[in-house]
Amino acid sequence: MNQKKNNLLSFLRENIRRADVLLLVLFIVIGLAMTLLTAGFSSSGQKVVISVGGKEYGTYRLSVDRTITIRQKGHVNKVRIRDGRVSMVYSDCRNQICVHHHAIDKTSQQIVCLPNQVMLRIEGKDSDDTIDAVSGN
Amino acid sequence: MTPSMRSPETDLHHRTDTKEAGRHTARHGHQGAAGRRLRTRQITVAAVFAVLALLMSYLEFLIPISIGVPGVKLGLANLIILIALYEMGLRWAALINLVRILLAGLLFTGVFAMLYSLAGAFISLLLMWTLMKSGRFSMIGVSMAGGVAHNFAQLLVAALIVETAQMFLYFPVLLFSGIAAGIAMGIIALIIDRRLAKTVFRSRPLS
Repeated sequence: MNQKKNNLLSFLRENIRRADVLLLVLFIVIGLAMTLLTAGFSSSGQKVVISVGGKEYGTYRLSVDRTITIRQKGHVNKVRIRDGRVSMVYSDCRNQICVHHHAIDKTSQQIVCLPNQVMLRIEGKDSDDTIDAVSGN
Repeated sequence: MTPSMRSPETDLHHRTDTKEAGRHTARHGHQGAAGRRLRTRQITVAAVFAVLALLMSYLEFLIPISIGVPGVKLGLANLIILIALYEMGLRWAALINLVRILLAGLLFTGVFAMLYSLAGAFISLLLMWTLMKSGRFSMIGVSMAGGVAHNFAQLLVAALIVETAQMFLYFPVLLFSGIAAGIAMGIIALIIDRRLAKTVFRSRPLS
């Protein structure tokens, strides 16, 4: 086992080139920068905006628990708001990635169902659009 | 969207065939039979590689590693494509990849996923080819760049389809998963490539 591991290590040491490492470092730096950038904008959200095919479908407050059923072009998606968090509980799409996505509640988070083109994203209270229409406080 | 995405690929396919044929008649023109034997060997090996790549896609379809972000996957098929790229060249690798994507699209992933695959595959193949030609990178680095490029291209297509730049929130996850999967596949491909008898690709060993 140990012998085998050493073999792999020496194999890697013999083959990895300087350019490989430089590229890896570059990628990691870009990745970290992007992570910090998106994390910087992240805060607890107030409402969820649902859009279908790039057009806004509706905006719902996170403070009210409810289930929204989206029907369009023969596709069905169900979105649930519970305890201030949003998740996709049902989708008739093929890959079910959106259904497996964990619940979201931060402004930098989103759930996308690509096959059905349904997108959920969280918005904060200082958003520019019609706060009065959705908030009662 | 589908026809416009596909037409350049069909073009490429066509060009590949005629150019390759021309090159080989030029190189082996004086030997006739030997040239044809090499050509037959290449076609056969390419077919085997296409089947292997398709199998890899199938494996990945059977055992999806989903972490809730679209586009995160191992890229097992890239193993085969990487070896094809190094041993047979860009045109054969592109052709093998195209056959794999079309077959996988029709058989299991669906036409929708095919769009993403095509975008990812060809951008990553071009980048891998460029890095390979530069001669500064090992197969591992080339594979890593390919993984990242693949994910980036898929993200671009996704942003176009959903018509929102919000998709780029996924970028860091896809970048890191591309790095990890790319390195892993690169190491395996390098090990396999070292052990493959080079006579598989050429009728006679070069040395």
